[in-house]
Amino acid sequence: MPVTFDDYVRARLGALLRIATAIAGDPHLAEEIVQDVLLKVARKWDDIGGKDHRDAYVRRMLVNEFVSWRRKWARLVPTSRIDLDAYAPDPSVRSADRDLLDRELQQLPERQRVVLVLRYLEGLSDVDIAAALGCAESSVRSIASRGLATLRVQMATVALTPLTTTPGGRR
Amino acid sequence: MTRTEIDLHEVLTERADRAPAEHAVLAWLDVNADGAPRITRRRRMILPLAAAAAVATTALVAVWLQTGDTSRRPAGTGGFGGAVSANSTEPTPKAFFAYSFRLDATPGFGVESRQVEPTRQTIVYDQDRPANAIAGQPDVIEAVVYAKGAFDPTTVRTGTPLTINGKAGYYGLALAHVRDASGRDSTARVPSVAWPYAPNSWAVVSGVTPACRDRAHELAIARTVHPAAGSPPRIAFHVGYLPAGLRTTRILDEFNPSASTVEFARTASGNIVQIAAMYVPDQTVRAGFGTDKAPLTVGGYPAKLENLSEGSTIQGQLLTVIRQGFWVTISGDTTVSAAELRSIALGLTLVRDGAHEATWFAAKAALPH
Repeated sequence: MPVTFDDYVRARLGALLRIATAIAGDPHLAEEIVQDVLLKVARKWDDIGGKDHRDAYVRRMLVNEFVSWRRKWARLVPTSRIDLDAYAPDPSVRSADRDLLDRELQQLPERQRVVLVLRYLEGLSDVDIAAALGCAESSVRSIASRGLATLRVQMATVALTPLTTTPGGRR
Repeated sequence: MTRTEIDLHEVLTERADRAPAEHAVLAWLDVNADGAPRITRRRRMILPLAAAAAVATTALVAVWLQTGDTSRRPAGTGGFGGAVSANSTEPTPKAFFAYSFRLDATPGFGVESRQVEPTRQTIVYDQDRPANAIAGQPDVIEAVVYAKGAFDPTTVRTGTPLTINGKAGYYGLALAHVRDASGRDSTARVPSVAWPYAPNSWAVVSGVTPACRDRAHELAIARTVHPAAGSPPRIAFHVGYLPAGLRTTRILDEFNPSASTVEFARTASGNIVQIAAMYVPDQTVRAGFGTDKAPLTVGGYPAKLENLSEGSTIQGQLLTVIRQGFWVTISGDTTVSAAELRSIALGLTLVRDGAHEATWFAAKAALPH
């Protein structure tokens, strides 16, 4: 059912900012990405507004913008990289490991990070993630598997309770 | 320690919880989503609040832009008479990367600014004022070092011969930048000291304000100006991104407050983009933005976007960003989009130490060329 751009932004902005922040790891960069995506969406709203899968469509634009943004600006804006060797968290302390995991997430290749965010934050199926990335479902599984291995995250041996997300964001 | 998918979900949720507030994005869309369906009354409320908060800074920006731009250079790049059609030549990038003069100390005067243009370089001096001086316009004198062939000496040669730094020069009429008692700038033919520092290459010193427009003052300044390879212009920012086809056409380096202005154009005759950064670390300037209602951010810094108008005609846009103790303004004509202005802003790297100009970027390293 068609909605106005106004209504769409009001309903989805918070969620888009959360996804972008989780992917980018930087609220400021996330804000820029979402701004750019919504600007493009606004200009094409006559086409996008009537789509049944507009959320998926916009999500794909967000992912593409993140990837292209990084490509575009990597050479222009110095990006500080965290030297993981400089950190020596106590592995017995859970919060320290969370911090380390957060930093390791930031070090993942972009597509691995996108897949993990869409799967474990948004709770999307591999089919939907494949649509967002523009790749095959099997590729999504492969990318996720590599990301999880890098992060040393063990897959559950039994089906997990579906992960909940916060519709519309917190703000 | 074993990590599970639940741990990953929780860490990702913590990352998402750091998401920025929505109002900045809404305001950005409201300004930029032209032609798109307009966005919410709630969103629109943000801009008037920001506009009210920004009234003070808008006035200051306007004054500053005028100071750094055409009102102080009344006839534009090539408008100083005596100068041979400075606009007729293409910008010469080499000219921007080193001052073509060396300055001795000038008792009684301080350097207010230095400026590089394709065919000339200008030093502006303010006369020192006693501490108990009544506020008002400072007395100003300018020295201009012209590139080869850029100054026509025919008129000044009819003046009185004299010697400057071992060179045979003249005290005669030359077209120059002048300012009247009310502070209004214009161009006039005034008595000036001029000398050929090299074949067909001239330097000219003229009093801008009436009190400095005399032979003694001009000669005193002229004797401290030595056309020669000098130090590089230093600017407060490194430019990482510019729209295609732009070349540097002017660098202005100002003191007290420290500020840099660089202009870029696609041809020699017009300024398309101006980037300026003024070091103002004090809170009185920042306050105009409002600290908690900034409608826009650029790279995480408070920002605002305004139209530049002349009468009812919009001539371009101005993006202002308060960042790292600097007040950064990026203006463009109507061929430059708001998105490009923002990209320019994001591509800027500011100097770490705004208080010490000697540590600022050398122009050659900081500007595309």
